[in-house]
This record gives sequence, C-alpha cells and structure tokens, in this order.
Amino acid sequence: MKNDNMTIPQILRINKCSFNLLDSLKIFFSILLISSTLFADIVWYGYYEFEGDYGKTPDKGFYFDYNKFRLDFDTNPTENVHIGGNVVYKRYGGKTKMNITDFMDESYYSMIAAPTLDMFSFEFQDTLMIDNLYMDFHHKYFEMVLGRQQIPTGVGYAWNPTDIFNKKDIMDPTYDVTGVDAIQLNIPIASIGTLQAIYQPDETIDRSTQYFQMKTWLPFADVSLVYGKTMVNNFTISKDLYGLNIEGDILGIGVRSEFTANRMNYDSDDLQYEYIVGADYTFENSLYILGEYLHNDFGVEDDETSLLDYLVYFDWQQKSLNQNYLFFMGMFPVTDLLDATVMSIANLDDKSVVINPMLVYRIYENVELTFMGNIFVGDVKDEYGFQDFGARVRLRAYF
Amino acid sequence: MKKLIILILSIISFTFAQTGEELLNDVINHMNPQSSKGIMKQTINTTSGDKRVLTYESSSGDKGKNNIMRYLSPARVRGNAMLMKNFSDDIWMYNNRTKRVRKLASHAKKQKFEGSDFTYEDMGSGDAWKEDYKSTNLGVQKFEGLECNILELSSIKKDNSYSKIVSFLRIDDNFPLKMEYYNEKGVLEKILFLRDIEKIQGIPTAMIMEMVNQQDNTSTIMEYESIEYNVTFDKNFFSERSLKK
Repeated sequence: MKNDNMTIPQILRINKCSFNLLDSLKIFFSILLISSTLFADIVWYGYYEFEGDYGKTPDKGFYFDYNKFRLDFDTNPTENVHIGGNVVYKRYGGKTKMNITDFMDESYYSMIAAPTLDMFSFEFQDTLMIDNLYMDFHHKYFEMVLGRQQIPTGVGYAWNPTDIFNKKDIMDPTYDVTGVDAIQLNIPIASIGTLQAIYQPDETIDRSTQYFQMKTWLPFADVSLVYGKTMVNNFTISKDLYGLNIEGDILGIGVRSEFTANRMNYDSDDLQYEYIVGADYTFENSLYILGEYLHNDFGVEDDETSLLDYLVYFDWQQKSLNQNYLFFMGMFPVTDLLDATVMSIANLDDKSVVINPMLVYRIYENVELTFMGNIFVGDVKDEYGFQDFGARVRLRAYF
Repeated sequence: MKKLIILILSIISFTFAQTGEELLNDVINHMNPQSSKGIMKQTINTTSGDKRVLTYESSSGDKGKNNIMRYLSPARVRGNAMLMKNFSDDIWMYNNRTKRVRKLASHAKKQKFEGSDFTYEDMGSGDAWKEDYKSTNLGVQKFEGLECNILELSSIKKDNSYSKIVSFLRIDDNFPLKMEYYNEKGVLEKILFLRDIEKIQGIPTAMIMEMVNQQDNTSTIMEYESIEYNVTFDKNFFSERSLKK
C-alpha cells in the first residue's frame, strides 16, 4: 500500500502499514453493527475523492489515478467518552506498477544488475483500511485516547522534525495522514500547561515508541519541550530525540520553529541536529505567505547522494534527501470560491527547485476541485531536476 | 421665559447626558454577557450572488474575553473549531480531519472569518475597545424612527482595523441597532445591523445581525437558532483541550 497522497516522486515513499482486505471489511462492518446497536446518536460524514496524476520524465510519461471513499463516524456514548474512526477505500487506475529507478537519473543505478533493480519495483494496490478507530476519554484531570488515532505533533507546516509518528508528504503537507496505533495521555497542569505522553506499542518495550511533551503558553508564544524514543532503520537503530517547539508572534509575524537534537545508539557521543525556522504573514488584502527553512543532519551532502540515499528517503527513514531546504507558499483568495496558491521547495544543496502552482475552486459548498502543476528546475541528477513536469487534478465531495 | 426654560432643559440635558465611556460600557455589557452558549446560522451573500450557509456552536465566557466556535455544517468544515482568547488577541484553529491545532499570528485577526464579512476581530473584540478607541457621545439622532444615542469610537492605536466606529444606540437602554465601521482612510467600510431584539433570560439579544460590506457589495447574516445565557463552563473550558472535544 502506498501513502494517501501521490505526488511524483513522493509516491515512492511507501507506507508499509496495511490491513488485509477481508479482515478490514469484517472489522468495519462489526463496528457498524455494534455502533448502530449500542449508540443511537452516531454522526456519519466523510468524502469521496478522485485524483488523476500525470508525470513526465525525460524518457517516460506516467498517468495514474485513484478513487477514494472515506467514511467517518463520531459518537458520544456518555458525556465524557467519544468514539471516532474512519474507513478508507481506494481503488487505483492507470499505471499502477512502477520502479523507484523510474524517478532518478540512470547514473545512480547503471552499475546495478537488472534482476536487482526489479527489487525496487512496487505496485499500487486497491485498499480498504481502517485508518482511525479510537476512544477518547475525558476526565477532569486528564484525557486519554486509545486506539488508532491522529497524532499531529510539531508546529511546522512543511516539515516537523519533532514528529516521530507521521509520514508527511511535503508536496501536499495538509493531506490526511494515516492513523497511529497508540495510547495517548494528556494531563493539564493547572492553567500553565499540558503534559502529553504517547506510547506506540510494538513487540517489545524496547521497540516501542515513546513520546513526551510539556507545553506551556507564554505571552509571546506557545512553547513545548519534547523527548522521544523510537527505533529507525527497520528497528535496527534506536534514536533519542530532544526537541523544542515554538509557535508565536513577533511584531505581527507568525513564527514557527522546531529544533531537535538526536542521539543514535551507534553514535552515542555525537548529536545530530534537525530543525526548521519558519514565519508566516497575512497581508491586508488577504495574501498569505509562509516560509520555512529546514536543516537536517540526517540528509546526505549533495555530492555524496547515492541510490541508497534515495532508497532510505523513499522508505520514510528520513525527512529529506539532502540537508538544507527552503519551502515557500503564497496563497490568495481570488474570489469567495477560488483560492490561488503557489508552493515551492528548493533543495539548497543541489540547487534544484520544484514550483507547484495550484487552484482550488469550490464548485459547491461541499465540492472542491483542485488543479496543481509541478514545474521542476535543476540538473537531471538533482532531486527536483530529473522529472520534466507533473500535473494533478483532484475532485473532492464532502458529505 | 421660553428661552430660559430651553436653556435650563439644555443645561439639565447636558449635565445628565451619558459620557462616551458610559455609552461604551453599556454597549460592551449588551454585546458581551457574562457567558453564553448557542447555535448560530451564518449566511454569506457572496459577490457572485451565491449564498453560503454555515452553522456553528458558539460558547462565550468571561464577558466575551474567551470564545470557542465549532462548525456543525457544511460537511466540508464540520467539526473544525476555533478558540479565541483575550478578546481575539490569541486565536487557535482546530482541523477535525487532521486533529491538528494551529495558532494564528495576531495579523490574522483582521482576516475574514470563514470568508464572511465579519473578521475574527469583529467576532470577539469586546472589552478591548476601551483600550483601543476613544469614545465620544455625539448626541441624539433618529434611526428607523427611533431616538438613538450616537457613540463614536475613534482609534487611538496605530494597528487598529478601523479608524472610527459609529454606533446608533436605542435610547432607553443603549442597545446598539446599527454600527458603522470606517477603514483606515476614513471611508465607510461596513455596517452592522442588529435586528429582532428579544429578551432571552432577561437579556436583550439581537437574534439577527447583518454585516453589510459597502466596498465589496457583500453581506453576511448571523442568526441565533438557539441561545442560552449564564452557562457555567469548566475552569479550563476555554483551552486547546476543549477544541478537540
């Protein structure tokens, strides 16, 4: 199964979490039956989405699409308990079989034998999955969320160095992310802040992910300290993350920054740093601009980029291919129903850029039509230089 | 003798006329009761002639200082919520689909609230007017056949959204019937009409508020579908935690 959003080359970053189709059906309809029987007051909602993507590389053109149906439910069996969840069905069309090497210059893999390259192929498969299913228990002194849930951490728009749970697509940063199986505890500490503890269980405690956040609200900013412990590189390396989030306001300009220092067990003396510095502003005429700079010690230096680095990146083991990036977004409501947006990501190491102009038109109150283009600028060996261009159309109807 | 009586009446009238500050206090008290909870329907008449209808649940506490609004419809925004604290100085937005809470920078409070003719600031300025504007009683004028006190608020801060706000206040209780908002250039930008005033739990309430944008030729009508006053909220109700409920 691949990630929900499918921008080339981000589609290659394969989401490994999947459910068996039949099991998912059984579970979902069991939930439907139990919910309908036990709780009279269930709210159902969701959306239907069609997306078509076209990508052009120097020697190939790709078209693929999907139809997605997301059904959410919410119910409150008692005043302090909330149960929610959603099921997602996706059906793919067009070119569903691809190879990672389709999206990079031949010089990266020319020395590798063809049978080995076949290992890098992948296929989009029709999916039915329970994306979220959780119970939220509110008490005067705490809140506990159990089950498969959304865990949005960090304050950045494009990147979240303090996030150790989610796989976010930089080409479409606000798109739904897959739920996380976890136990979340939030404890308000008087009116000065909140303590958050999240435990994502795995086979052993050592392999499980732990995350703690202490958040407070200062006059100029919301500030949080973070500690996280997780396994990376297919559970072979443990990582301790020490982080800081700042989300505030300086002279009317929004400031959003995340800093992390990471200690890997193979290198316990040295810390690796990953951070973003970002700002946003809304002008009187409603033009909204946002910029973020990312530095990632885990990324590879430009002149050392190899096939392995691409594989590691596409496998979501690190948040960027290289070390230094700049993200820019400008958004302007042209009319009440039409928003024009330009997003741009610059790889400052290899000097390649992708520019994504986008139009979002609300045909009706609950129906949105999105057009997006991808214009790539750079050398064929660069991250954003190999592909010629891309285009996307997305139609989403909420109900 | 007649002139003397008029002079005496004028002196009495002048002596007992309410000051601008007193009028403003009355307006703030009317517009910001101690606490309330209600469901509102918002109809936006767009430039293209289309109508957009949104409904949301609104909770307000501490005399309008803190507010939470949660969308009930349309489906596109259902469950999204907004927390405004300290008279809209601090705003947090909650996206129900991604469960993400995002703090807006202060410049955003001048932006349109979900594309309507109300800004975030319009939705929760309240007591802040006392510090941001100088208030003056401009005397009495008629509006729709009713005698009204005229209150003028003149901006005394550089970054205020409006240079001047002129309010027409029903003379018997200073409940506002009309408020004119002038932009930084002194041009009339918007007019708020407060209609269908009913007493709910003894508190006069405009069941319909219409904001007419003179520059864009758009308007937004907000109607109470239900309203309840003197609601007791938990101590930490107006917090990020409640946004996610």
